[in-house]
Amino acid sequence: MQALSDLFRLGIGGLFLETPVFREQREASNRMQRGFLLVLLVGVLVGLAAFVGQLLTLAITPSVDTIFQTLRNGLTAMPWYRDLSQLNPAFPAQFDQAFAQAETTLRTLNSGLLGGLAGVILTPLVYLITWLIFGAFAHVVARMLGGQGSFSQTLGCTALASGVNLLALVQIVPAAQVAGVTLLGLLANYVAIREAHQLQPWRAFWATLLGPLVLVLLFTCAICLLFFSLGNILSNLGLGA
Amino acid sequence: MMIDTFNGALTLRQKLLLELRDSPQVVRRGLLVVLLVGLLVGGVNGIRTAATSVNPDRELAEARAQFDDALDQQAMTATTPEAREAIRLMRENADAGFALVREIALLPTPLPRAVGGALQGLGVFVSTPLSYLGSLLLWVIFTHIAARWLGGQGNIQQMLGLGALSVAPHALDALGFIPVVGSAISLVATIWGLVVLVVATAVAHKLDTGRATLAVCLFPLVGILLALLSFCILLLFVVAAVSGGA
Repeated sequence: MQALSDLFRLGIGGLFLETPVFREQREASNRMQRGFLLVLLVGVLVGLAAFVGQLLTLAITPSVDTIFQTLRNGLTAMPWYRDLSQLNPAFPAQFDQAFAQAETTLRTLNSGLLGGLAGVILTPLVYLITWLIFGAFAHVVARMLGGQGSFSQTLGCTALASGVNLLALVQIVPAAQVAGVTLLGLLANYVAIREAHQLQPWRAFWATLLGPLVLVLLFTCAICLLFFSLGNILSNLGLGA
Repeated sequence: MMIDTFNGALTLRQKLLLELRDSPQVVRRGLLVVLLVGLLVGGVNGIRTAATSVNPDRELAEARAQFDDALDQQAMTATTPEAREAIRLMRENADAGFALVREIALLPTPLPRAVGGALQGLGVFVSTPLSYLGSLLLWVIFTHIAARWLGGQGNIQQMLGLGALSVAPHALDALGFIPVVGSAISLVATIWGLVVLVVATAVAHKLDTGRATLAVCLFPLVGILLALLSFCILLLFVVAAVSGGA
């Protein structure tokens, strides 16, 4: 129980960017263990909150079948549908096909309970992986910029930044919108790297931002490559302009 | 203590701002003001959302009136037969369209409609503080970067904690639902918030008011200039394309 309340104290300290908490974590002998447990705990809590929120959303939403049936009945009873059906006898069949396609796509996107259950397991995993990748990248950049911290100090301190994700617990309420978590998380990581490596503010700034910037750049390149390859495939098939 | 901080922010009390700057819990105290204001505004908006969810007729009537106004304006400016035909089609289908929206909004749900309404109101209630936080963070980060360029001495915690006080005047947003004056009240809150942010930046970074004002306005001004420049370049391309085509 004591360990749990200690983890919460660390998480809240990370959420409010409290320098003494980051310094305490930097000097702690079990910083890696505490960091790992904190990221895991926050991930499990957020995953569970999102799942409960999804359950409640399902309980206050009409069934998907009823919505699609009402929508279909309503659209086919409208004047535009009647006019187009008179002008073009093939239109009702075309409409049915397009509606069925849209329905299938929307049902696929709406993962429902299964997606929520997967989220309970995936959220802590994603948090842990993000923490490790970001921490490793930030550590390399921080050392290049003159940082003095060890790898375990970097990870121990950046783990506190996951305290910011406690804000995402509001997802337990249906229709609640989470905002500001990414930016506050970046700020918490900045404080973490500054304290772990005792860097000057501008160096800590670049050590924090270079990782996400490279990631955005790689993502943009990947999207461009994907479109380029798709264009090539289409033109090879003779479907291009 | 939270109410003291809130009042001090509204009245720009220097003693409180200086004491807050040197507090180790500067971010916690600043963000508690954001929470207080967010819950106040979110409470009012949440009650309105809950009422609308249970009985959507009033909101639908408002949406219908706006739709009709927009169509009337379009009809006055429609010069081609195609545009007039499109407006005729929209008018002809409007009744059935709004009836369909109402029917979907009133479909039966597993839990009673009142519970759904209450939960949706609760969603607005808990989301509003985060929405203020999201907007605040963007302003604070850019202001902090500009302030450091201009010789500021404060750290990000001091800037965030003191900058959070600029949300205090937004308690007036709770009156935003009042017709006609609501938007004017929100405008007053925004300007008041900007003044608080300038004073907070000056205190956090030990800058004079001129530099603090520049720090607050620098990035938004650069953003506006870039947007204008992009618009002009886009316009030039369009003109070149049209004249090339002609």
